[in-house]
Amino acid sequence: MGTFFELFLGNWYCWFKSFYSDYLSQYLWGYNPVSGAYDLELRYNTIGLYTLGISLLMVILYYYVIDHPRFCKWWSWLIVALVNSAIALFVGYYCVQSDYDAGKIPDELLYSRDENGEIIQYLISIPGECWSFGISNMFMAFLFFIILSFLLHWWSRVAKYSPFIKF
Amino acid sequence: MDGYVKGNTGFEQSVYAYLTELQISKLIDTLNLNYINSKVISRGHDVETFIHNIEPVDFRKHGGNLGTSDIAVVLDSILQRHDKEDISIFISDCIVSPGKKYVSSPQSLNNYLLEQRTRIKKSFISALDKANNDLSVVVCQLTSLFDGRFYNKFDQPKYYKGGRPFYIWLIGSTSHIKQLQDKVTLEPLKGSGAELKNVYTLVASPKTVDYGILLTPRLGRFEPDRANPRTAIRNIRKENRGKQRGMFMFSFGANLNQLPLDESYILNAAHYAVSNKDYALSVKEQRSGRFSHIFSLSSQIASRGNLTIALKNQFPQWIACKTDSVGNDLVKDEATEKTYGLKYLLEGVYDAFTARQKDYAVFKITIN
Repeated sequence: MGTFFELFLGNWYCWFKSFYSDYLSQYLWGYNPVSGAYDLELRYNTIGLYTLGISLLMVILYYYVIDHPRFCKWWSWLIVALVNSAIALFVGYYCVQSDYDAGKIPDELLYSRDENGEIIQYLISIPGECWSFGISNMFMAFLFFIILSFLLHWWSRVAKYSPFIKF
Repeated sequence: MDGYVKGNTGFEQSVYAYLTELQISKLIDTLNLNYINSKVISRGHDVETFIHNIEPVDFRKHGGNLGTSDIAVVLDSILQRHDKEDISIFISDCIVSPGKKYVSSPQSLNNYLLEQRTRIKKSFISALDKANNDLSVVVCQLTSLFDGRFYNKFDQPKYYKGGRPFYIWLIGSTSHIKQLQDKVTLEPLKGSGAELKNVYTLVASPKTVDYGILLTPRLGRFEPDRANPRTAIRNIRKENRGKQRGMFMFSFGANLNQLPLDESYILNAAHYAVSNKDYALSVKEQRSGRFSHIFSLSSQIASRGNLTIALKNQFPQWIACKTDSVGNDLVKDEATEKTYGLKYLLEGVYDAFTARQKDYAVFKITIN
C-alpha cells in the first residue's frame, strides 16, 4: 500500500504524459541513471502536492471566502477553476525550469552522447518541455479542483450547489 | 630455444624491450628471471645481464636437461611457484616434444598429446582453485628469426633458418593482468624485431561485471521496471515513426574494462550468445560516462521474457590454424609458421577455465 500511495500522484500525471518526453517523465519519477535506480526525489509527488495545495486554497477561496450569490453560477466556478489551472501551468513550468537551472536533471536524461561524450541529441528540450509539463499540470489542477469542489462544496453557505443547478 | 637466441635476434630484443617497459612502469617490485628446462635455474634480477647472456652456450653452461621440453611439466612448475601477488611471464617455443621413444610407436602420439592437454588442464584447475578463481592468462604468439637446429616430434634435429613462432604467457590475477595491460601494452613486443601475431586471453574473475539498463540509445518506448530498474524493463512499444517504424531497441551498459580482454574481442557481436533469437545484438565502446561499453538489442518482434547475454570464452580459430599436426619436417610439412601440439596445450588451459567459469561475463535482462 505504501508504494501505491507513493506512486498515486505520479500515475495520475502519466495520464497526461503525452505532452512531454519519457526522459522528463523518468526524471519526475526520480530515476537516477547513474545508480540505475529510482533513488532521486519523486518530483511528481512534490509538484503534485503543490498543485493540490493551490487547488485546495482556490476551492476554499471560492466556496468559503468569496461565497457570494453573484458568483454561484457555473461560469464563476469555471473562471476560478481556469485561474487555478493557469497558476498550475506556471507552477509546472517553474518547477522543471528551476530544476534544470539548478542542474538537478541528470545529464544522461538531458542528452544522448556519442562514444566520445559529444552531444548527439537533446532528449529533453528546454524550455519547451517545461511548458509541456506545465500543460499537464494544468489538467491535473483542473482535476484536483473538480474533486475538491465535490468534497468541500457542502459546507458553503451560499455556493453550496455551484457549479450545479439546484433542482 | 637455441635457434631463437643465436646472436642479436628479434626474440631477444622483444623480450628485452618488454621486460624493460615492465621495470620502467614501476608496476613490479622485483623481477625474478629464470631459465626453465628440466629444472628452474635462477638468473638474477637484472634484465640487461639476462638478455646479454641468453646464448646457446649460456643455456648449456647452467645445466639442467636441455633436451627436456615437457610443456605441461614446465607450466605446472610455474603455477606451483606462482603467488597471488605475482605475475608470471613464461616465454617458450611451446613445441610439444614426445621424443625418440615414440619413433617405434607413432600411433601413441595422439595419446601423448591428449595426456599433455589433461595435465595442463589439471595444473590450471589447481591454480584457479589456489587463486580463488581470480586468474587470467594471456598467450601472445610472436614470430622471430630462428637460426639453428630444429628438433621435430621425435627429437630429430634439422637445420632451419627463417621465421618461427614463439609464445609469451602472462599469468596473474585478473586485476594484475588488467593493470599490466593498461600500463605496459604489447606494443614494445611489436617494434623490436619480433612480430606480434595473435593474442588469446583467458579470464576467471570472482567479481561480477557491473551492468544496467540505459534509457538511450533506443527505438520505440519502454520504462525501467521500478522493482528492478537496473535489469528489467516494462511497457515496451515499437517505434511508430520514421524509417525504423516497427522496430524495438533498448540498450544496457556494462563495465567490461575491468576484464583484460582485447577490445576487438569485446566489440565483436559474434562473441556473444543471446538467449532470445528475436533480438540482435550490437556493441560499441563508450569513452565517457558510467559504462565502458554499450549493448543495444533490437527486434522486430519485441518479445517479452528473460533475456541472457553471455560474452563467450571462444577458443580462437588461429590456434587450430597455427598448430602443426604432423610435427616431422617444418619445410616439407609447410609448418614453418606452426607449432606442433599447440592446440592441445591451449585446449588444456581453455578446458580448465571453462570448467570453472563458462563465459567471461553474463548479463540478465527481464522484459515485462
